[in-house]
Amino acid sequence: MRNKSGLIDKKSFRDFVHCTCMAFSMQTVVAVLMMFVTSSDTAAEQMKISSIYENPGFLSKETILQFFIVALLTSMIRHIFFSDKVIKIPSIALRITLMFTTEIAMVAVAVWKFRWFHSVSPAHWVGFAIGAAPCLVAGVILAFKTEMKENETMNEALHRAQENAREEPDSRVEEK
Amino acid sequence: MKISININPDNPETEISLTCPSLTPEVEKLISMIRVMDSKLTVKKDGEVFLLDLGEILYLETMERKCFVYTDKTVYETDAKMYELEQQLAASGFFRVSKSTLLQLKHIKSLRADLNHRIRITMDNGEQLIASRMYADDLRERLGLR
Repeated sequence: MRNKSGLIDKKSFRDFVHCTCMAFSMQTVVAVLMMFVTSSDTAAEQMKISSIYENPGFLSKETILQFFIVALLTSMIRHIFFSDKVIKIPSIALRITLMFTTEIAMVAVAVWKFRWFHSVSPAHWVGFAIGAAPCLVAGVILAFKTEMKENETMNEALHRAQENAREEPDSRVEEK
Repeated sequence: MKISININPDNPETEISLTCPSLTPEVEKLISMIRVMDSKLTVKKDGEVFLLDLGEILYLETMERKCFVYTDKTVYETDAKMYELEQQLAASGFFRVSKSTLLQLKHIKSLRADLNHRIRITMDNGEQLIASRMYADDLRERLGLR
């Protein structure tokens, strides 16, 4: 009987996880760095204000730390959902759906609990997007390269199999 | 059904002769199986019957309960069932890539990983076939990638 979990090509799956997680980590680091740079102008005011909520659009180091924690949790969720060791779901589509649902739920809780809409200005979100964009492009390139590598491996194996079949005599002749 | 085997060292090659009251579907099936052993497949096109060399066949496909045989330029039809052909042609390098398609390994030009764990197969004549997710694993295994 076919092993259902075997339906997932583990090698390309692992490569995909590495690519997305690497891209996501790079994206987070660069994006948060961008936010830090954009918030440096108000660093002096930051010391004077006791609560960030009194000044909407003001980005504190505490908020940046929250961003890091949420990013780290998101990365962990991705690793958990893409690992065969923890979750044994044969369908990739179902895994991805569950992964994004969990991520969205977690980010929604974070936005609500940390009141990010009050503390982060649109300019900071733009900074985040600008920081994330190059890393997303890098992630896409990495994923594309992985796919190319997989195709190359598959075609090499195909040509090997075709050569072997040519060299081996017809099995039916041997049976006679 | 009676089977008689006559071993004669004077005969230069193996000869099979069938004696039957009429050409029933069972007898036709038997003939078809013997022809496969001889690397030939009985096919039809425009009412004419042809003996097709297995090496010429790129792939076989079932559509609306009919089985079509594709060569480089021509499409033939065969009365044989896909599961029968799969068994008979396995030793000649044919294997299944989807519920309805059987293809010959030596006529694959290239492979490409497709969405949803499928494999896009380009044949020697440029036609593209899809190995379904279920059979893509078998193909990978056949190529020694698993």
